[in-house]
Amino acid sequence: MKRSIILLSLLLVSAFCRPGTLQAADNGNAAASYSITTTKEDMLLFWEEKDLYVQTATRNEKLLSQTAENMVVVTSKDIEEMNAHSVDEVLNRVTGVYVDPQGQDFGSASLLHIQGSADRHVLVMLDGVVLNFLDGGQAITRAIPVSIIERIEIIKGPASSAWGSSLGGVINIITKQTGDTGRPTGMASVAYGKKDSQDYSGQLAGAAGRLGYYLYAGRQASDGLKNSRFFEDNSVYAKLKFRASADTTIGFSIGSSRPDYNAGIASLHNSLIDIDLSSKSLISQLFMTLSLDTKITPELAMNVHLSDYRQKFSQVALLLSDYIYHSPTGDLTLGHAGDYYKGSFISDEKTRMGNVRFVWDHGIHTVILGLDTSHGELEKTNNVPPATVNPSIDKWAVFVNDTVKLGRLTIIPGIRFDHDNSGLSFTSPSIGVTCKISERTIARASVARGFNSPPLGSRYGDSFSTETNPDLKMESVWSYQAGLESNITDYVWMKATAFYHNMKNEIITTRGDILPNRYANGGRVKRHGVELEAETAPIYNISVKAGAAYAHINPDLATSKSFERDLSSYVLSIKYDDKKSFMAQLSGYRILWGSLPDDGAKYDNFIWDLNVMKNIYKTEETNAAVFLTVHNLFSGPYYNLSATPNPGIWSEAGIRFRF
Amino acid sequence: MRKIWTLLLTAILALFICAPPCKAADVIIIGDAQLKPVVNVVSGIKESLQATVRVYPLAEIKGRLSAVIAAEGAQAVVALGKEAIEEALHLPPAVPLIYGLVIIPPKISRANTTGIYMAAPVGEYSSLTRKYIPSIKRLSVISSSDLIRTLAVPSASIATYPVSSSYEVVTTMKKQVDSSDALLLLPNASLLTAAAMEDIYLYSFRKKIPLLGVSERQVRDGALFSLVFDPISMGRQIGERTMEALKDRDAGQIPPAPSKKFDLFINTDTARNMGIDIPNEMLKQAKRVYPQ
Repeated sequence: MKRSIILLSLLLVSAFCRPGTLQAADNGNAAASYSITTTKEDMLLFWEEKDLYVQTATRNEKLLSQTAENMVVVTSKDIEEMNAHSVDEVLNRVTGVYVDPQGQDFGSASLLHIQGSADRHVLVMLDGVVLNFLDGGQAITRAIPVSIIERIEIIKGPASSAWGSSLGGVINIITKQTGDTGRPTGMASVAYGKKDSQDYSGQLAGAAGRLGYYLYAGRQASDGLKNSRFFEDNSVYAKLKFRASADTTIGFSIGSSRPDYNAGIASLHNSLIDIDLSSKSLISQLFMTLSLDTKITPELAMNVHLSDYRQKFSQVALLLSDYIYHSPTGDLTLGHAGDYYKGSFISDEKTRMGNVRFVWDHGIHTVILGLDTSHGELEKTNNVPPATVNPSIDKWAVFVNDTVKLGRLTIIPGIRFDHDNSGLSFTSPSIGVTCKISERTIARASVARGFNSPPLGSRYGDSFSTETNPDLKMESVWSYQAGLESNITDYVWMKATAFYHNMKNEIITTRGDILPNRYANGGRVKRHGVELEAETAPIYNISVKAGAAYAHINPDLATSKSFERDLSSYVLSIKYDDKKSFMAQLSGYRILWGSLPDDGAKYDNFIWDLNVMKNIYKTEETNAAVFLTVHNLFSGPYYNLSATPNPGIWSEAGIRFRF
Repeated sequence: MRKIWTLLLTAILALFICAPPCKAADVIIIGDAQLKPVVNVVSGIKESLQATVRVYPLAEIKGRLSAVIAAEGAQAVVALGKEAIEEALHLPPAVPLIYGLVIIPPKISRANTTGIYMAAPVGEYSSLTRKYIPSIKRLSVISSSDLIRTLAVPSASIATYPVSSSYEVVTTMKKQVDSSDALLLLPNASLLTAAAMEDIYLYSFRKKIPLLGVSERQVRDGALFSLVFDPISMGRQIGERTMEALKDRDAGQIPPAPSKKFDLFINTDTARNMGIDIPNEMLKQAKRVYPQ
């Protein structure tokens, strides 16, 4: 292993000690390469990259200036520059997204919150497949290989009029496109770091006749950076696109991943509980999608999307000492050393989804009409004592929205009706407006009603630790957002958004840590706050990106188990990019969680990562780059539970080869 | 649940069976709709073209353009960008081809082909300086020989210097430009590298020889003024040419032309530092004046 590190170090040193190699190559090839510049490169002579792209909004592509949602897009280029291993790492740098780490190691999972929402309120999708657990409603993105991602669209605030149950927001992950050339293109990447932490991946894209393909295989593993942890994941992904006729394309994709994470030993001793346990989790995901895109007339297009998704989550935790709960009436022993912890379970889920969507683009209108259906089955088995429940759910929804373009003004009305077989239904209207105030400034405002469908685990219990409550109602919210986005000077872009979410029927646990638990609808939770984002244009190749978000969470203290608190996050990134062969980026984030003192949290500082990338070899069709990442540069403590401390400084290096 | 699926599939089938056949498009446009300039050019085409059009992303049409044209019954093709043109060149010459979003006309021998290009001719710059900045009498143009050949008409007031690398751009500038009143760079991605541009700005400021650029960004960075084509106007021109082709005129008889409308960007700080007086009349024509 040491030999590998030495070899990689030598490779990096040799790379950084070769200034001008690429420059010379560029100069030498200038005349020849002119003839092979692409349309995009040509257009970059006249416009800057940020002015060049059309961004995707909700369920149909449209210009950013016509998007009323508070939306952020992270591209594959951003992800590559971060040298990220997981979606959580990427989202950690998005203002207004709060990534709650659940283990803090290479490969550990996180829960996602947007603008102070609960984790179950954030809808996460991969190529239209909903990844949220039927059992608990939350989503874990750890099984998604970042290399397959083309872009991540994040909508902050409810988007129920388009997407259904998504009270807190939407994270829509879109994978890379299939290739369109007979000669395959692709990338191979290897990274190696402390504690045998490894990340290998290979990608291939091309076309054979009418059939386009994109293939991926990858492996990540680590001996664990702290507390006897361990991680291993092998993943594969394939996407095919077949042009059936001039108007019709048929797509198919399949992906599988099995992240196996050993969380090591965790201890928590405070005024409420004393516990020492060793835990392990295994996620197994397999999904398949089939899609049909067709143009019925020049103005009317149809998309049909079917998917089958299987997700298995097993969590096994063993008590290493007696588990004591310090109740107001005296200590209770909830488990003995050697027992399974009460949270040990296996959740096996199968979901089939289908939707059909029509897009009619006529004059000033772009109308989208769609129908979503899904059937989900959950089989949950508890270890203590052994018990199994098998609830299922059927859902359907219809939605319609329009983007009306009136010169500088765009109005986006929308409405959706959702229904499930337990009798719950919900209507989600929304209206958004964007106005191009000046050449450089866009104003946005939206009002939306959103909801969150109660997860199956809270409705149907698990026959032991949670009681059934089929009377649970939808959590619902009225949401108001307004903001401005502007290139305030030629060098600075800024975006400011204010939000107010007034939620009712919060789903709460009625008995805290005492079993069996029961979920019920509580009162209101109000969340309001602001987000500020800024980015500079490169000056002497240096650019700065910063963001700050604040959310005040005010629950109904009479019913909620939560408490009134302030949540804030900060991101800061400084990048040097000579746009030829060298890029260095220093990025930091800080989230102030407002946790209770009993949790023993420590997060009052920035966690900095340094990424350096250098091209070492370049021809017209191939390119090789080496990279180095130093994580937690200043070994800052960052955790909201003392049982799960984060690792200090650690580094990794690698090489990426494109062809 | 089964009922819903059955209903859904029946509805889709009914739609396929009952929907009117896909209306044929007279004109097929090939371009990457993810790029904003493509979207703007297409909207300009739609404004001026009295015909049905359909936009295809390049990836969708690659290798089967002829079949698509036959299926659509299309009578003309508009190709936006280099890759789209390359694809359209495989078409039989009977199909008129009108191109756009290329810097200068590509060297192609295909008949029945014409187009509009993005680069502003040197004459556009010299007529502006003649009219508003008479102190600029002699203009040096440094670029690749093909751009110079297409964009610069030789004259006593315009000196041209063909080069083949970004290194040569800088050395030629240092050797030749001292005798000029302004330096004009033509749009060539391989020559105008970031490193070369830094040298050029520095030299321009030190020698007080104003730089005339090709983008708003260059003006922001220190060029005196730039002319940038307007994509919507370019789209209208393409639409007009396509209309001509649809009226059975041989597109090859219509010579390729530059865009008719250029947006003007001016940097008054640069003008002041170089002792150049920019008249109000010229400032009024500018789309944006720096610093703001």
